[in-house]
Amino acid sequence: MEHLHPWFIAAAFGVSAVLLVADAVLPRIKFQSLLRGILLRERRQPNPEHPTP
Amino acid sequence: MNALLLWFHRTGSPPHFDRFTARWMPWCFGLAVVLLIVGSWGALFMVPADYKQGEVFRILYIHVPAAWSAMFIFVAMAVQAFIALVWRIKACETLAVASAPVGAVFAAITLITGSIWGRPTWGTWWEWDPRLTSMLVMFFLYLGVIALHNAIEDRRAAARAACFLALVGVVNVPVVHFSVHWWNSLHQGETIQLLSAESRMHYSMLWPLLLTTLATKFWYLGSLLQRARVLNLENESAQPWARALAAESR
Repeated sequence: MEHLHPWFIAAAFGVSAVLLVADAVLPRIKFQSLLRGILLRERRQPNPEHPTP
Repeated sequence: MNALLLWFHRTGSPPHFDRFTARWMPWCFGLAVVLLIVGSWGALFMVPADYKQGEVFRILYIHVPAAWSAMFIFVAMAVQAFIALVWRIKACETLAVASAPVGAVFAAITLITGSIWGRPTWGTWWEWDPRLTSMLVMFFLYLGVIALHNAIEDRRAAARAACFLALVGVVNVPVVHFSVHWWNSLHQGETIQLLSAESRMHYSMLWPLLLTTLATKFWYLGSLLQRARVLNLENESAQPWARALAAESR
């Protein structure tokens, strides 16, 4: 079993790194999509200063 | 008004809170990454192999700090939830709800790395041991807080319900910590006492653990601020400051 130890270590550090990267990146993506959503909503709303005839 | 109280109230207002999180989040993440890299380098290449466990003991340099952080975050979340419920401070509600996913990530890392370490050391991936089971319960409690917050449409009611579950769930933290003393456990007891000079781990093997432990704390702060910023924007998306922020980002 001892010859497999480096693989176990690599798996443990690799899985941890993937989870931490996901923890950092996913909220960032959500934040950007929220900003895009606000901009899109702004564009769809009619501007009350320039009413369409 | 007291200067600290004034700062606290000002930071609690959504636009100030957004600026505060945007300013400090990169510093926390940056410090965490530097400490993680140096700590992991030390754990993987500089520390000698354990005389009993061999090379596989290096997994503990990520497993132990993650377990400590999972417990620490639950206590922090419960304190934030208590303040949110008693004094009805909206920013604390946001912080408590934002803590849950970060805690869940650290609990997941603890369970997965523990399982990977357990296979060559104990000969099994999983055992229904008190420490392992109570940590699994903690992971499910984190998921429960997240699920409860997402299940209720009214955002304030959802946050209050999640805070209440966080407060109830904190009773599991001493169970996780003392499980190795209260029950006959396969999991080993405490080897490291960070605040005591009588640590049973030699300093030549201890220093990377101190670095990775500090790294997980800074990671929590960075991730907490980032997630709190998202929740803040979600709740305030119709406000002029949020629209201005969106326009700036174009």
